[in-house]
Parts: sequence; structure tokens; C-alpha cells
Amino acid sequence: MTIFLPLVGAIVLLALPRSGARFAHRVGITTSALTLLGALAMWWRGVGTGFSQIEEVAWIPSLGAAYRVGVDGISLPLIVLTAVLFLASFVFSAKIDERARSYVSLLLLLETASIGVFAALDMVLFYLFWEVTLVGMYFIIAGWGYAERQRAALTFFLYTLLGSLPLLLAILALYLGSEPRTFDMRVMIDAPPLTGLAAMLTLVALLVAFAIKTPVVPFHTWLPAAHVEAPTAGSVVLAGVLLKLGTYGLVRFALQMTPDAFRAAAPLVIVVAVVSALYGALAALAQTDLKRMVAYTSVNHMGYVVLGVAAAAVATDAGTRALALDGAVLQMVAHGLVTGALFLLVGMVQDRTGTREMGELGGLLGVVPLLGWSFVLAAFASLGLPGLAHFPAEFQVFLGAFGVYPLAAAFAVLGIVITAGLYLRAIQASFLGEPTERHVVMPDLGLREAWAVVPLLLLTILLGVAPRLVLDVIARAS
Amino acid sequence: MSVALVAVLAPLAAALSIASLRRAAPWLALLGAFASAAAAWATLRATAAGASFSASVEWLPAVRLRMDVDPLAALLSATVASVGLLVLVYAVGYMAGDRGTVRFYALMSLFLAAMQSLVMAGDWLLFLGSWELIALASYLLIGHGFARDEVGSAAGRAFLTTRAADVGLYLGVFVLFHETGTTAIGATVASGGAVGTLAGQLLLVAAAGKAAQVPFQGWLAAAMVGPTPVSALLHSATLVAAGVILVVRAFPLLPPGVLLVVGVLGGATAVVAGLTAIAQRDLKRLLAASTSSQLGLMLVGLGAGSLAAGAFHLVVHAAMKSALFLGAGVFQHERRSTEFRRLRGAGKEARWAFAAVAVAGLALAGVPPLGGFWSKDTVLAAAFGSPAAWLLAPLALIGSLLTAVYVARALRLVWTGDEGATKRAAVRERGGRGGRRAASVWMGVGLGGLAAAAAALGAFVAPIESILGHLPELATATVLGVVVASVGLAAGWLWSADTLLGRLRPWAESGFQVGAGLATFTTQPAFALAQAIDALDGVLHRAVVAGAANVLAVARRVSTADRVLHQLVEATAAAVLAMARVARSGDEHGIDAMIAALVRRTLAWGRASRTVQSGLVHQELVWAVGGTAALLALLSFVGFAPG
Amino acid sequence: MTDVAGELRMAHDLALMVPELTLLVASALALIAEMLRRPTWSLWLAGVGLLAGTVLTVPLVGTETTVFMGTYRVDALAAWSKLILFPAAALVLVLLRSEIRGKAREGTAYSLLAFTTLGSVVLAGVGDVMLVVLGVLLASLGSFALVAFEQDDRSTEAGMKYFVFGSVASALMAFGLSYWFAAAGSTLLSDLAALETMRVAGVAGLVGVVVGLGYKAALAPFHFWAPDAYDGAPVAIAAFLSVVPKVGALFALAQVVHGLPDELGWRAALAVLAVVSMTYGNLAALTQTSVVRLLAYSSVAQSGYFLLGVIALGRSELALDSLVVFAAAYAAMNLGAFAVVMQVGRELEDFTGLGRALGWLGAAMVVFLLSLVGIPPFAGFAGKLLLFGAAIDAEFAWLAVVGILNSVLALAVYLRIVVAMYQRGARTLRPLRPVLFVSGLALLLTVAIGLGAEAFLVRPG
Repeated sequence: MTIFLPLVGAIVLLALPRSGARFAHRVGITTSALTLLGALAMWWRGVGTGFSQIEEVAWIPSLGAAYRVGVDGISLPLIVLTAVLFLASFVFSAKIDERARSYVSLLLLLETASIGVFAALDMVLFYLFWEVTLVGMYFIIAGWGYAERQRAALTFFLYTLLGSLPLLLAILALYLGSEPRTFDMRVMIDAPPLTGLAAMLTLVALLVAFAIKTPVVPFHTWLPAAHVEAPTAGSVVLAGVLLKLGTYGLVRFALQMTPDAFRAAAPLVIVVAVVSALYGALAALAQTDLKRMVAYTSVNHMGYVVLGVAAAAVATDAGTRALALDGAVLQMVAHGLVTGALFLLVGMVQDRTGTREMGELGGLLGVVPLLGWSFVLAAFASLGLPGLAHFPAEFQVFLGAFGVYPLAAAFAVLGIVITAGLYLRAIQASFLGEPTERHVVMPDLGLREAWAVVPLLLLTILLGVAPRLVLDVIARAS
Repeated sequence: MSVALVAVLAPLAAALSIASLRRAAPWLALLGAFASAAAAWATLRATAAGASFSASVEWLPAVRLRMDVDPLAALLSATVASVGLLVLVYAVGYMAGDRGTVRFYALMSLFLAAMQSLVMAGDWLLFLGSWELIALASYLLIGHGFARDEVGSAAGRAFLTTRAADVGLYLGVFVLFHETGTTAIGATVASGGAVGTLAGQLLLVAAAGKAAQVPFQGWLAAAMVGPTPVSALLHSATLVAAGVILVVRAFPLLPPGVLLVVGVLGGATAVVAGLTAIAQRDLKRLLAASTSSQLGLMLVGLGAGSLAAGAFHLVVHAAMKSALFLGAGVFQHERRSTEFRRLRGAGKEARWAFAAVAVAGLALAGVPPLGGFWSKDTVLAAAFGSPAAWLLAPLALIGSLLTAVYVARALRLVWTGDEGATKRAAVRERGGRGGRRAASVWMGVGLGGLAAAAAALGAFVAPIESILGHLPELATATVLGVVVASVGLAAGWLWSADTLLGRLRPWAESGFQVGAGLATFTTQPAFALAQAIDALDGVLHRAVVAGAANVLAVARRVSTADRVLHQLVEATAAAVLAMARVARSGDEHGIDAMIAALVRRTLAWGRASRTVQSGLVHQELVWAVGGTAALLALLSFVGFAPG
Repeated sequence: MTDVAGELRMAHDLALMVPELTLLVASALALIAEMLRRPTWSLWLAGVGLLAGTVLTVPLVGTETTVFMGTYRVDALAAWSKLILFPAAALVLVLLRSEIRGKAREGTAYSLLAFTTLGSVVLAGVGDVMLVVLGVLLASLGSFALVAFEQDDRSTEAGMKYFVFGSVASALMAFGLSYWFAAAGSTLLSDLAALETMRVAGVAGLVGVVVGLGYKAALAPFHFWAPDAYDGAPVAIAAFLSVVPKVGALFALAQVVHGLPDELGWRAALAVLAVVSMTYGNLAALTQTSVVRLLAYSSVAQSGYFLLGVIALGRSELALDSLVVFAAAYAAMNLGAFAVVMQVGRELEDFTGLGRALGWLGAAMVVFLLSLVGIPPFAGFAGKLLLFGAAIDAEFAWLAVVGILNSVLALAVYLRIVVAMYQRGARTLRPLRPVLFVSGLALLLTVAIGLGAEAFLVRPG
């Protein structure tokens, strides 16, 4: 199945000794392209109600753990998103010469793990893939990041491990609560095993785990630190894929396995989500480093996802619930595409100018028009302009949340003004006006860069114009 | 529906093909605009004859995108298309020689498409989407000359102000959806009562932002940095008009209380922006302020309860104001500036342009029988007929008076002045440029067409009334309107702005800013908050790092303690051993004693063997083996003896 | 009982002890070979003994009985201890051989190692308090000598310290156990339920046994000997000490407390001990500059994790599984890590640039360390998953939380090595073949145990 395709590529690469960087990148691109084809094949095969395309192999039968994978409307779009973003990352990274073999292998491992998390239907398997993503990302940051990479990687790993271990406890609690004991997630979803205090404690563990991963305020401080030092492709994967693990988990575990407890705790979650959205937007507004700014907007956008999920937990009528949940899942996909593109573009700016400080840039739109207009497009997508990917997602989230907590939705909407402000400010400072003297001449988008970023932008437009393409799939699950 | 759809899709197709082909931009844009205009007029004819168009597509699972074309929408659509077409014709001349024409025409076409879709929107989501796309297109158009430093901030300010106000639109739509379960405009505006009040007020905020009403009026003047055709389009039938169209669309929803707010808001803006216009030293800025004031008058009409009055003025104003801007563009080409200082006497050099501007200006001032007279008359009549006439009528009258004053002032400043000096300068500049004649033909056609419309629209009161419904009429209003216009024109022609405004002028010129304007209350606090959050974030991060550092410190202390403890334990080891031995001696009986003895002796021997340093491991081993053997023997004994 | 019946039983009992007896014979023969100055024979004898013992244990898996009047148990823990510790000791032999080859008294070390292993597996099968003492002694005496093998000042001192601690602890244990005998009137562990009504004696005995076995397992605060001993001993011996006697002692603890009445409060006591061990071990490891000492302290922490499984005995069906799986995992990953240390060096700075110089060895080390943290899909994860599960199941969820927090701490500890490995600073190292063999095998096992934990579960189905 598609999950292990990248891993096979990694193994092939490692098995062929002393091959050059070019070869390594070719393997990476080929493998991830095949993976994307595999993901598209899964898309084409489609999903029914509940889980589809299930594969099950016995693993630890006496503990009720097995290799179980399958997809539903929530995970399938995320798998395709993952495949797309990894392909873009590989294409973009093809310039890396330093230890290319290890780099490509790690990224492929990361891809397998990421797809694995979304496809896993067994809690042990889920956790396994989940942790492998941490390890992979740690080495990507530590090995190919910028100046302070060791420290940033360490912070990232420790902080997110702190987040993922409560997940392990929660998984165990769910396992011990099930009768007969099993790690099968489908069983947990069909008949949530825990009630009362146990469910609430489990939920608390889950919320802590996913709050750190997503991340929401005040557990987000690892994110800007990691992004600033991570290599461009690392940032794309981190923001585009790994953050989704948190919100995906929130849906899969918190919402589906401890629904009653989540309903009870939802007001608190909604407060955190709204605070997170506004806090992230304001913090982004204060940044002068483009990459940090984009990193903080992730906090804002993921806040909306959490808001949608929490609203879905409380909603009593099916319509509102579907609206909020669909919006939340769509927002995950949209954020992956848009933020992935933004990080790629910021990376390109840094490759050319050696800086990401808005104050040192300026007038780039005149110097590198293609790059500049791509950034403008991505920025407007990110601030939620209609016709681009975020709008239908955020609109649904707000609409759904408004049906449950009007005041929370009202506050959350303020976020769109702040994001508009911060992106306009960034565009104005970096791309409009007179170019600074040092940066008058530089090459515009190269072929490699264009192949990496243009598909993301096209998908952003496609999703904005025809969200039903994805929503129809998502709706099967909700 | 198919015809109406063409009005939307033609400019959209033009925009896409310009962006992808990157050549023949003006022609494609004109083609798109022409097709759009033709379709819009065809639609208007059909709807006027009683047909209605409707189409919808399910876009989100719970939300359908709808287009509903009623006569009012068709009229607005035709207005937009016509003005857009003429402005584009003008632009072919105006923009000749500009490097960014591909972008310019693509965006203008996109802008028209979005505006058409806004006008015909039958549901709030499509309305909202078009609304925001208009904001995007205008942001990019205002920022056309982005290499100049002030352009970016002006464009940003325009987008940001309207977007901030848009929160009202979002929330208003949410309220309506929450209440009715649909986003269809027709269905939602039927819900009255408290919902109407709440949603109406929210929508009004958005409308005020878009239409540059008090207190959002500031961005409009800054937006003048865009190319003149852009200003002409933005300020007449499109961007700002969207705000009024929102109120028009929501009109059935608004309870009387909200309508009063609409009227007062519009009246106040008419007065404030009118004074601002009088104080301006730049023709385009004057026109910008004038736009605010005229939109204010439209809102007065709407607020007075007359949908027809507001809509009529909207249509007429579109022609008048675009003509004025296009004329200003002609002067701008002559003098490379729009400051009055440099425009003195420009009218005498471009007499045909001045004539067109004069016609449009007098129409705006409300001079009969030009188009503006009729529409303003209906607004005044509506104000007088409103339950709150005591409030709205004076405001409308003052607004009209101020309109006449600034129109006259503008005409005077452009017509009079140092003819000779400017002529010499103009000749000098003209020498270097070729192809201007061709350019001026395009510009002339566009300008002339719009001025003619501004003049002649009064002749179409009857068909318009058939579309919009009854237009208010009141003899008192007509008389007062004409009086006010005459007085205003005279005053504006005779007296300078300083005389008219006195010490108020500097404040008026700045648009009656308090502090640094709206920014004092919005942007600056937002930035301060952002900085505070950033600082807080630093604190948070440091707290986490400090937490880790604390752990590390504890670890160091543990490490030290470990060493100390270690020594302590070592020092007391012997003592403990002794104690153990003492304690054990009281406890020796049975098999335990045997074990204990064995342990003790083994230990003692082991220790003895250790104290001697050389090669005694053999011995040790022997002891170990011996001990093992002994213990095994013991084990067997224990195991079997009792058996 | 007639003599015939007795003989039959004895034969039967001895048959169940074939693995132990095989190793005993092999160790004795190895010793003799050393006396004949044939160290290579010693090596082979010890090695064959260990492997033969392993093979002979296989049929015993699934047997649940006792021999010699209940004093020695042939149960899951006993069987698995052999299956885990014999091969582990054999791997240590490989390492040890390359480390001390050609030194004086080489063969002694092999034979001592075999004896100590025997003592450790005896511990794991104890059914009687006397056998506890015996096992501790058997496992200790050899260890002392092994630590002091190098005979330089450092190793002698280390050996002495170890010995002194051992003496004190054993004495205390013997003292405490005497109370149990006095109170219960029997030395059989299965009779200890009688202690229910005799709290003072029960607690006294508990303290004794915890001290004695805790010392052997290097549980805090009885761990003080460990860093010095590991540091002074040959690296292979440090690896051995950190695995074989430790697992034996912990299994012995499991055997002992399993029969104890709940009223003694042993679960709570062990829980406290677990918290102290985990936290203290990790904290102390965090600032070490010597990798050997770092691993020593971390092995203190790992002992604490074992206790989670011990505590859950009798309350959770996961408890036994967790002990077995974690023991196997721990043996594989810890041996692997020590093997790499043997190649690279004892100090943290020796690891600088390892990841770049020797990619595969570096990668293997990363796997061992991540497995020690408990990151899937490696063995340590499977073990910890079960341990935490058992603890939660036994209503010690708070302990699992402490364990989790400690995992983060542990990550910080081990990442220090990883960070050093991937810093710039190229070194040229020629990989030793035995190290490659052992670390490769350990790597394989670390992954295999992680993915195939099913094979280690005590009750199939």
C-alpha cells in the first residue's frame, strides 16, 4: 500500500551505497511522485460511510493490537495533502548537496510516518507512526537547519515528546477500558469505551497532547523556534503535515472516542481556540521576520480548526455539526497548501537575499515578479480571501461555531482583519516600494522552484473555487 | 439567465485570457466589457418587460450560490457595465505607454466581473465573495504603481479599512443564517424584528466601511494614488457603491430604527465629507471626498425610506463622478499633477475636457435639467417625506449646498489662473511625447460618453421609475434644492476655501481627523497589542526554557548530592555492617543462622581475598565455587531431608 | 514418601533444571580450562554453555511448576530470564573477548561471567527466601571480581566499593528475611501470605529484601556502587552488570512480592522506589560527561521502570508480559549501546562526529538510545507500553504519569549523545568486528522485539 512506498524508496536509497546527490534526489522525487499517484488512486477508489480500503494484518493478537489501516473522509484528504506537500518538498530540496542521501531517506521516512498516522486504525500503530514523525523531523532540523538548529531541534523534540506521551497514556486508558481489550480504533469510535471521570481524565491527556502538537496557546512556543531554524522543506512538512496530526488526533480521538467528555469540556476548548486564533494573529503582526510571521499565522489558522472541532462536539443538530467539522477538516487541507506555499516562497526569498527581515527587503515585486506575485497570491489565500482555499473552510467553521457560541465566533472573526493587516504589512515592506540597493538584481522563479510552488498555488485556487471536490469526500465521514 | 450570466462571465473570461495570453490586453478587456455591457442591457430590457432570472449552484453542502436578477439588479448591472466600458475606453488612451498594462487590464476586467456578480448575487455568500474580490482587485489596482513608496500603504489602508468593516458583514450573515438556516438574500431579509435590528446594524457597519462613510471615510482620499481610470471606476459605480448596494439589498430587512441610523449616518457623512472636499488642495482628493458625501446622500434617501431615491442617485452619480475623474485625468496628463496649484488654467488648454467636467460637475451640483438635478431632487423629496424629516432634510440640504460649493470651487480653480506660464510649461512637456493625439481620442470618447450620460439621464426618469418604483416628488424640495445649488455655486465661485471655512480649514482638509485619524483608535492599539503579545510570547518561551534550565540545575544538584551521599554511604558502610552483625546476632536461630553464618563468613573471606592485591582471583574463584557447592548441598538437604 | 518416589521426583526436578545445570557444568569446565591456561577453551565452553542453556530452555516455556519442594520455580519469569539473559551473556562474551584478549586470567573472566549469569537466572526463579540470598551471593561474588579485573587502581577501587555495598546490602537482606522466617514459619515465598497479620515482621523482611535486591538491581538509593563499578570495569563487564544481574534481581523481586499480602503496602513502597529511581537516575544522568556513567545512571532509571511491572503483579494481566518484554528489550538495547561505547570511547567528547564518521554505527546508536527513551517502533516502546498499561490497569495511573514525564527527561539525557554524534569533528575509526556483530545483532533484536512483541507474551491467545 501507499504508506510504505516512501519507506521502500528510502531503503533502496540506503542500500545503494555511495550514490551521488543527484541520484538521491531523483529517487526522492520519483518515490514521492509514485506515492502521490498511490494516494490519488486511493482518492479515486473513494470512501463509503465509515472506513474504507481497510487492510488488516495480525500483529500482537494477544493484546488486540494489529496492523490496521484504512481511510475515511477525514483522513483521505489529509493523506493526499501529505503526498502533495512531500512531493513539493522533494522538488524544492533538489538543490541540497550536503549528505543528500541521508536527507532524502529521512524525508521519505517522514512521509511514510505521516501517511501512516492518518491511515492508522490501530492505536498502537497510530502512536508508532506519530513518534516516528518526531524523530524524523528532529533529524531534519538538526541536520539541515540554520544556525541555531541543534538547540531548536532539541526544543522541538523535547517539547513535542512531552506532548505525545500523554497520548500514550490516553491510548492505554482507552485500551484498558475496552471490553474485550483491543487497540482497534474502529471499535473505540463505534462504542466509546470510557465514561465519567475516566473519560474526562483521558480527554485531558488527549487535549494536552494535541494542544502541544497543533499547537494552541500557550503550548505553541516551540513552533516559531522550530520553524525559524528548520530548512525550508522541513518547515513545509512541519506546518503543512505535522501540525495536522494534532488536529486530526483531536477529531479522531477526542471527538470520536470521548465524545461526551469533549462535549462537557468544549467551552474551555473553544475559549482556548479563540484565544489561540487571536493571539497567533497578533503575535504574527508583531514579527519582522517573514518566516516567524508565517509560523505564527499557523497558530491562528489552527485555532480555527480547533474552534471548528469543538463546535462540532457541542452542536446538537447534525447540520451545524457537519458544517463545523467539514470546515475544520477543509481548513486543515487549505492550511497545508497555503502555508506550504508560503514557506517555500519565504525560503526562496532567503535563498536569494540571505535574509528574512522585512526591514532589509523591499521592492521585490519589481525585481522578481513571479515570486512576488506568487507570494501575494499565497498571502491573500492565507488571509481568507474568497476564491482561495481558506475562505470556504473558515466560513464554514465560523458559521458552525456561530450556531453554538455566537460570541466566540464573533471574536474569532476579528482574526481575519488582523491577518489581513499583517500580510498587507509584510507585502508592503518586502515586495512593494523601492528595491533596496543590495537586492536589485536576482533571478526570478527557477524551474525547480516553480514546479514546487505553482502546483500548490493552483490547488489553492481550485480548492477555493470548487471546495466541493474535497468537501464531498469529507462529508462522508461527518 | 444565460444573458445575465454573460455580464459576469465575459469580463472574467477577459481577465483570465489576458493573464494567460499576456498580449492584446486592451482589446480583450474592451471586448469583455462590451460583451458584459451588451448582456447587461439586454437583461435590463428583459427584466423591465417583466422577466426575471435566477440560477443557483450548490457550493458548500449547506450553502447554495444564487444569482437573482430583478429589475433593480439589472439596472445596477447595466450601470456598472456601461461605466466600466467607457472607463476602459478612456483607459486605452490614458494607460498607453504604461508598462504594467497586462496586469492593469486583467485586474480591471476581474474587478468588473466581481462587481457584476455582487450586483446580481442572490445569496449572501456570493455577495460576500464578490465583495471581498472587489476589495482584492481594488487593492491591487490602487497599488498599480507599487514601486512608489506611498502606494503600498495607501492600497493597504484601503483594503484594511474595508476589511475591518467587513467583520460586520460576516457577522450579519452569520446572524441571518443562524436565524433562517439559509443564506439566500430573498429569504433572509424577510426575517424582521430583533434579528433585523441586529443583523441590520452589523451589515450597516460593513456598508459604512465600503462606502467610506463616517468614521471610515479616510481611506478614500489615500486611495487616489491609483491610476485615474481606477479612481474613476472605484468611486463611481463599483467599490464604494457596493456599500450602498449592500444597504439596498438589505433594505427590506431594516426596521425603522436602523433606517434612521442609515439616514443620519449618510447625512452626517454628506456634511463632513462636503466640508472636507471644499478644503482640499488636490482635484482628485476633492473628488474623493465628494464621493463620500454623495454616497452619504444616497444613504439619506435610503434612510428616509425610499429605496428608489437612493438607487436612482447611485446610478446617476456613477455617470457624473466617473466623468469628473476622467476629466481630472485629462488635466493630469496635461500637467502631470492633480494639485490645484499646478492645474490653474488647465481648463482653458483642454476646453473640451473642461466642458465635459463642467457638465458633469453642474449635474452633481444639482443644476436643472442635468441628470443630478433629478436624482438629488428625489433624495431631498424623500428626506422631506420621511418621519424624521426634521433631522434628515436639513442634513440633505446642507449636503447639497456643500456639493454646489466644492463643484464651483473646483471649476473656478481649473479655469482661472496664470494661463501664460502654464501654457509654456505645457508646450514644453508636450514636445517630448508622440502618439498623444491617438490617446486623446480614446480618452475623449470615454469622457464624452460619460458626461453625456450625466447630462441626459434626467430624460429617463420615467423608465427608471418603472424599474425602481415610485420616485418621491415634492415641490418644496425641488425649489429648495435649486436655491441651495445656486447659492452654493455662487459661493464656491466667489470665495476661496479659506474664506469659506476659516480656521476650520486645516482640520477639514485632513478629513476631520482626531489624533492621527482612525488609526489612533484601531491600528495603533492593534499594533501595541501585537507588541505586547509578542513580548508575552517571549516571556512564555523563556519560561519554558527556564523550566528546562531548572531541571538541568536540579540535575546538577542531584549529581553533586549523589557524590556526597556516595561518600557518606561509603563512610558508614562499615558501621552499618557492624550494626547489622550486632542486630543479627540476636536473631540467630535455625536455618537462618546457617545462612547468616555462611554469608558472614563468605563475606569475610571475600574481603580478605580482596585485601591482598596480587592474582588472588583464583582463590576467590575457588571460594566462589566452594560456596556454590556448599549452597547446592544445602539446597539438596533442605529439599529432601524433611521428605 | 518412599525413596523411589523421592528419586523419581528428584529426577523430574533435575530435568526441569537442565538449563541451569548445563551452565553450571559449562562454567566449571571453563574454570578448569583456565587453570590449564587455555583461555580460548574457556570462552568456547562458557559460550556453548550459555547457548545450550538457551536452547534447552525453549521446551520449558509455558511450564508452570516448582521444583525442590517449591523452593525453585519453573515458571514464565524463570524461563524467560534464561531465554533473555543467556544470549545476552553470550553477546557480552563476544565483546569481552575483544576487550581483554591476551590479558592475564582471561579465561577466569569468562567462567566468572558464566557463574554470575547462573546466579542471576537462579534469582529469577526463586521460590524461597534462602534461595534469594543464595542467588544474590552467587550473582555478586563473580561480579566483584569481574569489576576488578583490570587490577589497576581505578578498577580495584570500583571492585572494593561494589563489594562493600554488596556486603552491607546482603547482610541487611539476610537480617530482614530472618523476620519473615520467624513470622511465617517457612522460608517458602508461597507461604508468605501468612504475613498478613504480622505487619512488623512483614515490613522488616520487605525492607531487607528490597535493599538486597534493590542493590543488585541498582535501584536508587541503593545504586551508589553502579557508576563507579561501571566506570572501573571493562566496558563489556559494565554492559553485563547493567543487564544480567539487574534483570535477575528484578525478576527475583517480582517472585518475592507476588506472594505478599497487599496489607504490607509493598506496592506503595515500590511505587515510591520507582519514582525515586526513575527521577533520580535521569536527573543524575543529565549532567554526566562520561557516557559510561551516563548509562549507569540511566540504568538506574530503567530499573525504576521495571518496578511498574512488578507493582502491577496480581492486579493486571499485563504485568508479567510487561516485565518479560521490557527485560528482553532492555537487554538488547542496553547491550547495543554499550557495544558502541566500547568502540567509540567512554567520554561524551569521544562521540563527537561519530554520526558522520561511522554512519551505520551512529544510526545504530541512535536506535538504541531512542529505544531506551521508549520511542516506537523499537523494543523499548513495546516494553514501556506494557509497563504503563500494567501500571494504569493496577490503578497506579499517577505512576505512569511520572514515568511519562521521566521519558522526556530521558530523551534529554540521550539526546546529549545524539547531539554530540552529529556535531562536526571528523574522527577516523576502524570499526571492530565483534562490536559490529554485537551492535548489529542488538539492532536487529531491538527492532524485532519492538515489532514482534507478540512472541514474548506469556499467555498466548
